[in-house]
Amino acid sequence: MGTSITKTLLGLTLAVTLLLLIKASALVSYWQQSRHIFLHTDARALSIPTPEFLSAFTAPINSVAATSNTITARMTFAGQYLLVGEAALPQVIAAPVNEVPALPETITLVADCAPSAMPANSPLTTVQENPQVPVPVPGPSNENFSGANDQPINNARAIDSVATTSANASTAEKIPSEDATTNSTKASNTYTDKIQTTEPLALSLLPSDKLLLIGDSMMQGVAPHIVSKLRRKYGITSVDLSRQSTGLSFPGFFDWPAQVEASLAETDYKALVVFLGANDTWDIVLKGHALKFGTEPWREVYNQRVETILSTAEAKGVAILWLGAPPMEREDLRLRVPVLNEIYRAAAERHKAIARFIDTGKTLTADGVTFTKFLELPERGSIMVRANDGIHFTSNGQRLLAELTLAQFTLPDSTHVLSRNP
Amino acid sequence: MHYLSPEFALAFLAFLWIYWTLAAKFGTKAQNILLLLASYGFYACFDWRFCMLLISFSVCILALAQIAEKKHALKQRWPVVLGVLLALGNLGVFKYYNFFREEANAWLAPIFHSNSLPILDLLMPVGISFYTFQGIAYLVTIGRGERTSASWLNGLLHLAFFPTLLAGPICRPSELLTQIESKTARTIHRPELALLLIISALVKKIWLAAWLANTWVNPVFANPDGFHPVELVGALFAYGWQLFFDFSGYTDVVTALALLLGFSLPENFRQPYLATNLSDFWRRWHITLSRWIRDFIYIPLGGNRSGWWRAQLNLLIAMVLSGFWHGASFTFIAWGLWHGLGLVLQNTWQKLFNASMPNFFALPITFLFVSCGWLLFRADDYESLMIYLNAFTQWDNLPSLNWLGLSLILVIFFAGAHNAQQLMAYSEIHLRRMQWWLQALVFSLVALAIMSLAPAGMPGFIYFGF
Repeated sequence: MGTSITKTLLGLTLAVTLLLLIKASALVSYWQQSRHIFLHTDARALSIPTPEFLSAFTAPINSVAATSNTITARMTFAGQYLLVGEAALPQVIAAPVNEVPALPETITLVADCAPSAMPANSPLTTVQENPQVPVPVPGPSNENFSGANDQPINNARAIDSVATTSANASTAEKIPSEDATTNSTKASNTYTDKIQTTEPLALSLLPSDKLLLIGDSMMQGVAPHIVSKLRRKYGITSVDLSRQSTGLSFPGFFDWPAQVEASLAETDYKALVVFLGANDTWDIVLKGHALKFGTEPWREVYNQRVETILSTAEAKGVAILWLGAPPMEREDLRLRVPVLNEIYRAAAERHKAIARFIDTGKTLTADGVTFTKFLELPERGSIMVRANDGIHFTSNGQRLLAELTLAQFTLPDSTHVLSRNP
Repeated sequence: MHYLSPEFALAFLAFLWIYWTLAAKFGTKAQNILLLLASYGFYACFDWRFCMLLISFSVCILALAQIAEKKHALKQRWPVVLGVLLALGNLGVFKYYNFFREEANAWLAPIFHSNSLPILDLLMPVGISFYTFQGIAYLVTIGRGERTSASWLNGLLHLAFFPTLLAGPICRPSELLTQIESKTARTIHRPELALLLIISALVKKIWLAAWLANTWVNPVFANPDGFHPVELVGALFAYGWQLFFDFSGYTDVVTALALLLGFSLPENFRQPYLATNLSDFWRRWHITLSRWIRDFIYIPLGGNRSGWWRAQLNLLIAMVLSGFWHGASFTFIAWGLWHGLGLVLQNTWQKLFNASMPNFFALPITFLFVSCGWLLFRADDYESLMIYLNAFTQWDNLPSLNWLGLSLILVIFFAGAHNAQQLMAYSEIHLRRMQWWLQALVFSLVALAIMSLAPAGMPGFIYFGF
C-alpha cells in the first residue's frame, strides 16, 4: 500500500473515530430506534464530556440559528403584509384598543376554573367576534356560557354530541354510509361497502372547527387526503403533525404525549385523530433497561402512554379517533400489531365518552385480519392498496383510510341527515 | 443501507482497509473479486432476491455479448436484439407490469366484466432501471464491434459495481469497464476531492435538500389549497432545488466512494439551473441518462439525419421514453412530453428567428419551464396535479411561510451554482496543503456543523425509486 493511500485511509479512520466519539449517544439512540439494536445500552451514559473547543465551536452555530429564527419570523410577517396587506395583521391589534387588556385575564380565569368543560380559546374567539359583549365568567358547564345559546352546535363539546347521539345509536349507525354515498366522489362510491362504522362517534364538524392529526409515516400518507378533502369540501381546517419513524416506544426520539399536550394547550381543537404503531413493535428502553415487547411491564408502559394522550384530550374535551394499525405483511410486524391494537381498543373503551377505536383492518383487507395487498372492489376490480414494503399504503389505500376517517364525522353539508331522522 | 448512513460509513471504512491491503499483496484481480463479493453483499442488504435477478440478467447479457462478438455482429444481429428485448422485458415486468395491468383492466372492464389479467405481486428491485441501461449500452457496444467482450468476472462487476448500482451514473463500457479491466495498480488519485465530494453531498443532501423538503416542499405539496399562490410558486422552485440537491448530492457521494476505490466516474451534473435553454439543461442534468437516450434512442431513430420535421418527432419520442423510464405513471410520461414539446418549441423558435435571447432573460425562462415540469414529475396523479393548479386561484389565503427568505435563498443558490466549481477547486488546493490528520480534523468539524444544521432523521434518496 502506497504512503498516500495509507495517509488517506488513516485520515478517514481518524475522522470517523472522532465523529463516532462525539456522536456516540445520538448514534446509539438512532440505532435503538431505527434498527432495534443495542437496546440494553443506556445511550445517555455514552456521551463523552463534550470537549471545550467543541462547545466553543457549536455555540456560534446555535446563536446564528436563534437569530435566524427571529429574522425568519419578521420576514414571514413582512411577506404576509406585502401579499395581503392589512389582513396580515393579528386580529387582536385590529380590534378596538380598549378591549385588549381584558384578554389575558380571561384566559387565566378559564384555565383556573374549568379546564375540562371550557375550550381554552373559546372566550378569546367570542371577544374577537363581539368586542362589546362583556366576557362571561365561565362556570363548570356550558350552560353558563352566554354564547352557547346563540350557536349551540358550535359550542357544544364532544361529550354533548356523543350523549345526544348515543340515544339514537341505531339511527346514527346509518349516517356515515349514507354520507359516503351521497357526498363522495365517483371513485369513492366503490369504497362504500368497505367503509363501515359500527359505533360512530357521530361528531359534527363545522367549518369553524379544527382537527388535529398525529401519527407516524402511515399517517403521513393518509393525512394529506383528510386535510385537503376537509378543507376543500367543507372548509374545515386540520393540522397534520405526523412525523415518520415516530411512535410511543421511543419518547426520547419523539414524545407524542407531550406534543399532544402542547398542541391542545395552544389551539382549540374539536377532535384528534391518531394513527401510529408501525414503529412500536419493539422493546421499550426505559432508563437503560429494555422491556421485552408484549410482556406485562411492556404493556403497562405502552398503555400508560396511550392513556396520557387520551386523558389529555379528555381533559380538554377533545374527541379522539384512534385508528388501529392495519395487518402487516412482515412476519415480525404481522404478529405484533394485534397486541398494539388491543391496547388502543381497550384504552378507547375506557374513554368511551370521547374516544373511538377504528379497526382499519376491516377496510384494508379482504377478511378483516389477513394482510391484503390487492383489494377486490366490486366496481374497480382488484386495486393495489398496500405499498411494496408491506407496511405503507398506495394512494388508493390512503384514500380508503381517509374516507374511513371522514365517515366517522358528521360533516357540514350532511347535517340535514341527522334532523331528518330524529 | 444508504450511502450516507452511519452503518455504511463504518462498513465502507473497514472495507477500504481490506481492499487496499489486498491490492498490495495480490493485485487488481483480487480487488475485483472482493469488489464483486461486496457489491452482491451490499445488494443483498436490500433483498437477496434482487441479487438472483441481477446475476441472471448479467449472465444473459454477458453470454449474448460473447456470442455477438463471434457472429460478426454487423451481419448477424440476433444476439444483440435478443439481449435488448430480454433486458427491456425484464425491466417491463418488474417496473411496469402493475401500471399496465391496472390500466388495461380499466379499459377492458366494460367488455369482460372481470379481471382478465392476473395479479403479480412484484417488488421492484432497486437500481433495475440503471443496470438495465448500463447492460444495454455494453451489449450494443459489443454488437457494433466497438470493443471486445469482457471476462465473466469483469463483466459481472461492471453491472454490479456497488457505488453505481443503486442510481447510476450510467457508465459507458469505455468508462467503468475499461478501468475494471486495467491491470495497472490502482491508486487514489485525488483523495482531497473525495473528502470534498463527501462534504458536498452532506451539505446538499442532509442539510439543504432535507431542509427544503421539510419547510417548503412537503407541507405545500401535501395541502396546496392551504397556501397563497406565491407560496405555491415558492414550493415549486424549492422542489426543483430539492431534486437537484438530492440527486447531485447522491452522485457526489458515489463519485467519492469510487475515487476512494481507485475509480473515476463520469460527470452527472453540471449546475443544471444555470442552463440558458432546454437542450443546455439536458446537457447539464443527469448527463449520463441524457447521453444514453441520445445514443440508444434518438440517434438509432434517425436523429437529425432525415430532415427537420423527423428530427423533432424523434426528439419527442426520445423525451417521452425518457419520462416513462422515470416511473410507471402517466405523470412521468406527461413530464417527458412537456420537455419534448419544449425542445420542439425551442427548435422552431431558432429555425424561425435564428436568434438567441440574452442570458439574463433566457436563464429565468428556462428555470421556470423546468420548474413547471417538476410539477408533473412530483404529482401522484391527474387529480393531485389539478388540486395544485386550482390552488392558484386562492389569492386570499394568508401566507404562512417565509417566502421573502426563500427568494433570498434561491438567489444564494444561483450564485452558489455560479461559483461552485471555483470553490471546489480552491478548497481542494488548500486541503492538499494540509497534513492528513489536519484534513481529518477539518473534515470532522465540517461534518459536525452540517449535522447540527440539518433537520433530524435519515432521509432517503428520491432517485432510488426509479
